[in-house]
Amino acid sequence: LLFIFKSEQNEAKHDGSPSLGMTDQEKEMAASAYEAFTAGRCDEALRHLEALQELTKEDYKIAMNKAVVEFYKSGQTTTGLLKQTLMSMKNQVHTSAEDVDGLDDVENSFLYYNQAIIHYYMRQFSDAICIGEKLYQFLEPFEEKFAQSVCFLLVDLYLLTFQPEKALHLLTVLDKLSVQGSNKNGKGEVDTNTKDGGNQKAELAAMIEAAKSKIHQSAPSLFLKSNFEYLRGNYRKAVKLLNSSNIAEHAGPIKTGECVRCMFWNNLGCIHFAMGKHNLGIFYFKKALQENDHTCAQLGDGSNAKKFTGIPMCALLANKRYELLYNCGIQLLHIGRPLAAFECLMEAVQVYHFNPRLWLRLAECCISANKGGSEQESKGLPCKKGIVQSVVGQGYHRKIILASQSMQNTTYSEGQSAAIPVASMEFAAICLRNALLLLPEHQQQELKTENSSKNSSQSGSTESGSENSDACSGKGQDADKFLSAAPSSPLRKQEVENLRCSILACSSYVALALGDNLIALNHAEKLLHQTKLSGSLKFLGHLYAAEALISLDRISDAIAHLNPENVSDVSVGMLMNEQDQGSDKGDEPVESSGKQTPLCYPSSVTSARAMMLFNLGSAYCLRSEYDKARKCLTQAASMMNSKEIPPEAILLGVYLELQNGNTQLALQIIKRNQLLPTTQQRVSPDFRKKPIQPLQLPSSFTQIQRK
Amino acid sequence: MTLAPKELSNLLSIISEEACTNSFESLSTHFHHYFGKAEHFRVGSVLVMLLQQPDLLPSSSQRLIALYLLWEMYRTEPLAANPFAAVFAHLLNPAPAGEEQEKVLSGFLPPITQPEKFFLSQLMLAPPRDLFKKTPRQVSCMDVGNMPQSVDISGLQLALAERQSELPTQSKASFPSILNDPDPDSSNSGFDSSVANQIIESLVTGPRPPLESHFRPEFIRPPPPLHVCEDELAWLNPTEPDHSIQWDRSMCVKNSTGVEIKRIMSKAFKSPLSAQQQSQLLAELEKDPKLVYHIGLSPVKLPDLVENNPLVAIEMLLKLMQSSQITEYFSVLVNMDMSLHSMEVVNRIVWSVWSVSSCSRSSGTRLSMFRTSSSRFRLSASSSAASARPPASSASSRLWTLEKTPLRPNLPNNTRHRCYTGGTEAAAKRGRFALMHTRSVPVHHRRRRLCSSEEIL
Repeated sequence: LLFIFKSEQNEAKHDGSPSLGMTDQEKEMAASAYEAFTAGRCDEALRHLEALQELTKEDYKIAMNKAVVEFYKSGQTTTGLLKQTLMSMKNQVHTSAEDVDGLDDVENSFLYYNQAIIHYYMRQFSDAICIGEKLYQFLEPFEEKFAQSVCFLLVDLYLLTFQPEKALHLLTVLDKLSVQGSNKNGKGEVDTNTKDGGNQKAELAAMIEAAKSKIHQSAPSLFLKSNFEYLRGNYRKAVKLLNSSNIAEHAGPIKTGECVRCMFWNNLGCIHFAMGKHNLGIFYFKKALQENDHTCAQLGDGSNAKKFTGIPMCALLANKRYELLYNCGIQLLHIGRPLAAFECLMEAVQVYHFNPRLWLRLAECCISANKGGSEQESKGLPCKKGIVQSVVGQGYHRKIILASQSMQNTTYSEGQSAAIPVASMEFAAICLRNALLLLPEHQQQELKTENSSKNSSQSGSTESGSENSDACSGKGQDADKFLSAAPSSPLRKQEVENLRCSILACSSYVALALGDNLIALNHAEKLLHQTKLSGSLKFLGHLYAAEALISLDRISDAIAHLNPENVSDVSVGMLMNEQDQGSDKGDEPVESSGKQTPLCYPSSVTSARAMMLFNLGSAYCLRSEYDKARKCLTQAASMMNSKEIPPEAILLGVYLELQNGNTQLALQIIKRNQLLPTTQQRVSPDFRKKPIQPLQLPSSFTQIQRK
Repeated sequence: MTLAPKELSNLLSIISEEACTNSFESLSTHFHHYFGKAEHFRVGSVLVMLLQQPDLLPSSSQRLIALYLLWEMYRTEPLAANPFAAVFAHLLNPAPAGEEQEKVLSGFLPPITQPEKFFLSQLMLAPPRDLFKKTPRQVSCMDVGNMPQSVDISGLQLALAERQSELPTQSKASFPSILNDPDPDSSNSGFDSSVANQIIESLVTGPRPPLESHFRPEFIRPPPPLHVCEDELAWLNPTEPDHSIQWDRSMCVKNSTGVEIKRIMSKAFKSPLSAQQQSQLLAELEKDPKLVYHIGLSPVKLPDLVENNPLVAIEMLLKLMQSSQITEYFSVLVNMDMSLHSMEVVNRIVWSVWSVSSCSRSSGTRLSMFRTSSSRFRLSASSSAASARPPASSASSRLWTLEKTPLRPNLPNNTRHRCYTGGTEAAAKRGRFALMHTRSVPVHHRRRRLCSSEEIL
């Protein structure tokens, strides 16, 4: 529909209300200037305006129209200059800034509108929205077409700033506006005659028909349809739709201000990410980034971008670098390259610093980089996890240095401020704090929803009794329901809660790694109090809480957390999505291959329980209850494949033997499980993809225990 | 915590086999020459480690030096304050017989010889001066068979136990992480100090040397899984934005009537207008339906207008009915202090709104909101201000008078009330008549409610 309005705007007619203040001559001149302008004869329009200025100096609008004409004359490339001109005009108009709320501003609506437009193209969206909303307050006195322009601008701005509910509301207003407009024309209330109205209507209908057939093949609509299928999980269909859009024929970014090729590759990347084909995903995102760089080079981004001159105004919006970096970073994180992901996301977060999930992702990068992933292995950094750290000396002097897990887990980056963005645990802590702060308060929200539901039920039963207006409270609730997460769609309430759980779990983990035991305990307890906690995070919550309690010397409390019965489910999230799918998409079958099956972490309830038992054994050890510890260890080891037994558990066995005085047996356990120096073989802590890797020889760990 | 290689070689020279021929006193001077107070703890840690590794410190006289230095470093302080007092206590503690194995393992401190034990117990007591004149070698060869053997260390043990009870359990549970594993196949081909020194260096120097690490039961701490969610990536849709800088079409069309009207309006907020001013204002409003937006009536100012010129307020509110701000005007109106004028305005507006709502359903929510609020208004009015009966029936006449009859000139406050109640009999009938013709159910319902409220009044 957009381009219909474009054509309408172009043929906008002059408002012929009689005015007493202006002479006929002036009015005539103004009219012919406008005529020349709409016909694209900028020089002529300028001449008229200059003549007009000689007659009357007081109307700033002449000067503004002059600036507008000059801007068009330059091919819309002097955005910066126009901005300054408009700004100085605004200051003139508002020398006496008392009447800010007054309706006097109706007079200056075009000035404001043009300012909003410039803010829009300069990506100063909040400024633009501020002006737009002010204009919207007195929409009624505006000419219909101008009112529509204002509304469409606001709609676009709301969409760009991810406030779809506001945009939707505005679109219904727009709908009403156009209905009213046609009614008026039909009734002939205003001085337009009815014939004209009828003609216009017929024209409009024909245009709509033509537009419809065009719209169905246009890139925007195909992209939208593809987006729709993508969200429904019909990934193949989404790819097909994308492919059918003829991006080669699309006018370049200089004309439209959009680089469709770049969007195309990006969207393909999104689809492959969702399909779990991460390598293809990263391939497409890189391609999109290349395309974007190419576009920016074409626009001469580097040198004159700061002045906003030389590029057509619409092209100022063409650069999608930060969206692409965001996508790239998340893809890299999932592919197991946290450091590269960190680089990308750090750049993106400078723009999207209000996105709590992005902060969480950054923290996840830090965590994953510090737990010793594949990236570090390739760089030949010292082994992060293992039983034996090194062997010193030979023969008679041979000594085994046992690996201390806590030394590896507690990581301090010395001599650097934590605020300097490196993928350290300290920085992770900062990221997580940001993420938590950006989430809405939990309890408040609960209360609000309760209240509003009460309200709605009340007003449902007693028709007129309640004082509250349903419309208002409904709106308020709507605004609360979504949390902005640019550049992706806003978060629903349930997703916010899931996010909170993940953030708390990470916070607890990071605090443990940094030795902030009290904070770790605090986060873990908060996590365990969340209502819709996934089984996996519940398990981790107990584990982290227990470890923090041990470090705080509250061993009995820790043991209470380590009851294996606490674990009954280890699925990761997705609880609400099942419900959503049920209600939203129940009638239409979704491609079965599409969405990923719910993940589990750790791999099974048994392995989770075994982990708890191992930790329980450690806790007993600290209380010198070695027999209980041994029992836990044996039981846990029997639950697991002997190859999957984590190093901590083996070390616990060693510890028990040493406490028992069996140095030889302890050494035997070590040697069975790990042949000396661990340069090649190491334990991968990445439980997610592969089971824990081996302890080299097929160990008869449990047998040794029984001896 | 670590020693620099240079420091370590200094230390090793003091406790080397060759140094054992010097007297303890001269060893002490040497030691204090090389190390200041700040280094003492680090040096002490290394010495303890060496004592734990019998293969690195094989000779008895070397052990004597190590023990002596541990004591010497903190000799000015009470014994229990010596951070290495636990070592002394452990070594002096007479082990119960028959638990050879236990002795070897717990804490990894190998047992010491009788002369060493004697020397150590001398240190625990006030040591005789001449003891330090001897060389370590001499002490190690002493025949201690007839010397007093045991010294009472229970006081020291008590102090140590007290101190340890303050430590968290976790830190008491550690072993050193250096585990001896002599290769059984290799023959002990004699002690080579250069080889030993190399090993010591690798244990003690560098970042995070093995000396520092300790071994205790560790917790398995799996990192949290990556957050799982849907629709996280940014999908990009082309939108073909179409917003352009616009020509100001209001250029040179400013009209001068606006100025006059604004002047009248500003007066209307302060005092009642004259009849002529009022009719001029209302006439202009009739002429240009959008004028009402240009003359500075904001919701905040509405109460002033209502109090001073209720008729004007009614007309303007009716004109503003299509505005998105009308709810704000209404809420201001409903919440303002109750007076005859405000009740009059509310009543009229309510009636007019109903007539509008019967032909246009579009602004339903707005009306319903106003309806509920105004009904509250009405009820409270009936209870609190029975004397100031609002002429509900006269309000109904607005249905007709709005379009047809010329506007009533403003009258002084005290007379207006009577004027309305007097001349509205017929109008009321017509109002009912108008309502009878609106057939939709909600209107019917509303009418009944209104009738009942009229009866109350």
